[in-house]
Amino acid sequence: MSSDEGSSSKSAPSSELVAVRRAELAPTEAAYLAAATRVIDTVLGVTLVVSRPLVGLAHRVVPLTAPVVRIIARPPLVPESLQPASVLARVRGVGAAARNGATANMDRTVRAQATPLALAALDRIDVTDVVLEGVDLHAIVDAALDSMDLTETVLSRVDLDRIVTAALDGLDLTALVNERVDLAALADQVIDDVDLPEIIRESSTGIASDAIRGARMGAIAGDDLVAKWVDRIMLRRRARRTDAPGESESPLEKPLAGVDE
Amino acid sequence: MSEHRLQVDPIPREARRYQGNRAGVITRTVAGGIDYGIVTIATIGTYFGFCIFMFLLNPRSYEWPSWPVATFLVVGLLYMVTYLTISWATLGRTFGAQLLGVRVVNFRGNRLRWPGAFLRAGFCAVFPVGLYWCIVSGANRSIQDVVLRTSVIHDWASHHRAVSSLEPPDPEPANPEPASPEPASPEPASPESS
Repeated sequence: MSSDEGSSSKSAPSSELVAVRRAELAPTEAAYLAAATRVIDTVLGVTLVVSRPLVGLAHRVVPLTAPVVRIIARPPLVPESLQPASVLARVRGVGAAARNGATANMDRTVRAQATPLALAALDRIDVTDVVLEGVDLHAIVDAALDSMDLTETVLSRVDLDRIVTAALDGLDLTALVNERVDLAALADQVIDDVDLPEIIRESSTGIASDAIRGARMGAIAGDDLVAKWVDRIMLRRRARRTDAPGESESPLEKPLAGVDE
Repeated sequence: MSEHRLQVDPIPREARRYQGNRAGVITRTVAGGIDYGIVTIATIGTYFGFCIFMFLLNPRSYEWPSWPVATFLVVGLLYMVTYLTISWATLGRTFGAQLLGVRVVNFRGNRLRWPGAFLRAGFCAVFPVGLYWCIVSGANRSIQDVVLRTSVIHDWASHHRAVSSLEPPDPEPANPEPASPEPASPEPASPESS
């Protein structure tokens, strides 16, 4: 899922998911839920309709009546403990204590019931499906990977020696090399690089062989020199065509030594 | 797993690029000179052998025989033709060619057959100067090479040749096969002994 797809699926799917969840409820439960929703909406609407004018009126009246209210709340010549404000304060304290008790009680209740409720809710929800549809996992994974040095994490947390040892123990390295590596080509390249034939020749040929080799190369050099000067005298611009018919009989074409792989 | 033939070329690296190419005049002259030396020694040896033989026949009235130059030339010519024919038809090279690392092939690149080897040997023995046409030839070919469509090529793998010499030679058109315009390669020359 791409990030665009993820973002678009976050808003749209939420309402769709609600509709789906409702559709999954039993018919009776759905009817109760709908009725309760209507009642709540009605009460809330009536409250707003009635309270808005009263609040507006209060905003106008309270500033005008504030001095009077202060005198009534704290009448002179009346003991402070008997003043209406003090009485109201005590009453407010009783209310606050009751509210705190209720809050604590509710907190305990919520704490006690949260886990069963969450489990019950999760039992009715396919969390995997919800996450897959509503969460951009790619963005999350990308952000997580961007924020950490994976190489350093692996180096510090993973026992690489153990993994490599286990991998090597499970492999037949010889068979693998035989199957995957062109040993013949490798051997040819090594022989070519070190010029093994030259080493063999130098270690096994005598003075006579060296003399013959020198004579041959000297004659070839003489051939080239004569051809060069004659061609120059004859104003011949093209190089001589010295390639002969047939295959070269150099052992390169007909291998000498056989080695079984 | 398939059998692999490890390729080890016994030819020195600096000489590899010449293998299969036609040899030039210096190489062929040196090879031919060695062959001429062999034939000369054989001819003189024949003469001394003849002298000894005559001495053994009649030691008392023995007189040192005197051969005219023409006799030496005829004997030398016969030796030369025989030597070249056998060498080219069997090993593809004479002793001189062996030392210089060259070999005679036909227009297909194969060893000469007996008729072809004989014709070339006779041509080289009678007209040895034909070798020097390769100096001006643009393809290092002597007159014998041009006429008989042969080539003298560098081939240092001598031991390899010795084995193949036991095999029947490749079919080769009865030698001088004038006509067919051969490919850009026919060429020739042999260490001609000559």
